[in-house]
Amino acid sequence: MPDIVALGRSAQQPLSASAVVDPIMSPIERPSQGRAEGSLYQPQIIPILTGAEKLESDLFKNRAELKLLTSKVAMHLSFEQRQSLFLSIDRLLAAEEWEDESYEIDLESFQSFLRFVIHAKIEHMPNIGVGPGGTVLAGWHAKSKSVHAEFFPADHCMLMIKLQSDRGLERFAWRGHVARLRDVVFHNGAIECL
Amino acid sequence: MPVGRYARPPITEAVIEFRFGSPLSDRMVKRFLHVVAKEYPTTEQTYEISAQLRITGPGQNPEVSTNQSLTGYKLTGQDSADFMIFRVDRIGIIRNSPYCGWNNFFERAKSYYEKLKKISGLRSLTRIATRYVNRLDIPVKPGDLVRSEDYLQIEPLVPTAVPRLSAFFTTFRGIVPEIEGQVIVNSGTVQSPLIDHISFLLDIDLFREQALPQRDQDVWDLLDRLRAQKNALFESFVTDRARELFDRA
Amino acid sequence: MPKLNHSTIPDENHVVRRCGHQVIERDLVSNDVIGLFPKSMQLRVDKNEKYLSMNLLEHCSGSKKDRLKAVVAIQRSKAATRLSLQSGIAVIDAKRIRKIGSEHKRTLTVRHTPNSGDVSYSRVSGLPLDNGDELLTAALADEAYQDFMLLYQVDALPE
Repeated sequence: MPDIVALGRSAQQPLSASAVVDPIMSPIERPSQGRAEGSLYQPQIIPILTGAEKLESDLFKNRAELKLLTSKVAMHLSFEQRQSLFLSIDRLLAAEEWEDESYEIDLESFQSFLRFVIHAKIEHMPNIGVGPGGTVLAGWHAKSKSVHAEFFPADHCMLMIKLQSDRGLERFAWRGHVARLRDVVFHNGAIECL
Repeated sequence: MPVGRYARPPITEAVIEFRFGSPLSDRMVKRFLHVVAKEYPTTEQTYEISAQLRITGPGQNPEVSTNQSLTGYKLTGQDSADFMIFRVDRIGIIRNSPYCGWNNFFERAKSYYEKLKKISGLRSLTRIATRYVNRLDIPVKPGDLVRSEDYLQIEPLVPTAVPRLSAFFTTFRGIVPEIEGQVIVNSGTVQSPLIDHISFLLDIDLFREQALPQRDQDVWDLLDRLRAQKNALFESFVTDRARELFDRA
Repeated sequence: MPKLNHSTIPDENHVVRRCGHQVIERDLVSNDVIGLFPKSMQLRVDKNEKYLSMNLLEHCSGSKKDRLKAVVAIQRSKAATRLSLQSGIAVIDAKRIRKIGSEHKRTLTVRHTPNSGDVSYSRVSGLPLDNGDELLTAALADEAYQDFMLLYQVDALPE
């Protein structure tokens, strides 16, 4: 095999930054996840959970996908943050507590939540719930203040702040991008919750 | 807690893999799955599924044939960061982020190899590999431009007729004399999972397929050498500016 | 079966709202219940809900404890799956629901709407169908939490 010529530094222009870069369909095989999805010509590797009923199997899949999403950014989370997230996921998606009105956690909503947690560098992890449709619900409390948020796909979120002022109880509601959430909480006097 | 040179190593996936010359029997496979069940409580069977279409004539509906075969098992650990890919001819021990440090990872791989060898007896090895998939996450303000050479020593050679890239992907395979083996490196832009970041993939698959040791101690020595060479390659592929990202608390 | 009449629930009566375990807020560290997420009082848009489902507490007889147990029994009989003991029920005053509605410039109706499957069935109507009034539902959720019990606590109430 001939020697590969050392690559010289090119005079190319820099890459454009974007919060969302078009995904590359890389041909590499991810060892833990099998081959890249979407290829019609390569055999697909499909894992199938053995020995579990459908509900358990579905919930296992949901939990595993959420934890895999978390692992992709785990280097940006502390050990405690990751642990608390996993405890919440296991509690909310436990088969023994499953009811008619229970929902699996939507992956895209969870991704918006994770992106917020890392971007905002929050100190306190929230109490977590699941809304209809699988949206992630989050709650923070400090003294007489509370912040509740609901995370939707594509980095959208809804925020509710409640606090006691000299003039009585106050509530604020806001909708917008998760990157702005921390600033909104800060400017409305509830940053100690986060 | 991650242990290693960097406070926040950019590793998203680490793999140690052994491949064998002769396949394991069903009995050996089942026995091994039983032995590791406590550490890997979830087992999925992996099936390879393929479909073929055959056009028999103009205007005729194509004939469809499908094939499905059990290829092996995917085992998932308690916290869904540890996996094992297990087939009749190979075992891959996998750790997703957060990386647990080489010593911890190596001891686990060693332990499973020894357990498997106890069940299956001596089997000649045909391939030993370490593969580390890294993702460099670079914070940028919206609208900023990023030079890949500020972070990576691998870049595509592009004529000036294409003045700006929004994405790239390169792959190369080369000989690594220090370990009498080869390396496959994949690198390029990937969709960043973080807000206001650009991310680069750096996937280093280092392996040896010839003159493989068979004595256990020699296998561990080779793995240590693979790891040292993988580290050396990684350091040669990244810049000091990239290192600052991994050290940032 | 005689026709089941719908009627407005008087101010002094109460409705019971069932809250699934996923919308109950638990402290991350202690796992204690500390509230209800606002979502617990929102319409389920994915199910095309037009009103909040409730049970009329006073439909059942006996002490409050007896009534709560009766309501839970009704909810259990209607559920396709087992109800989690970590889910709960909130008792809300009909008058307070209407007052919260008017504070948010909405006319909320609280009506007893029995059907053959559930003679205690009731509805709270008048909420925006797209859940666009988050302040209203947050206020309702806060009110609901004032008188809230988990199912295992209801089961443990002495006979």
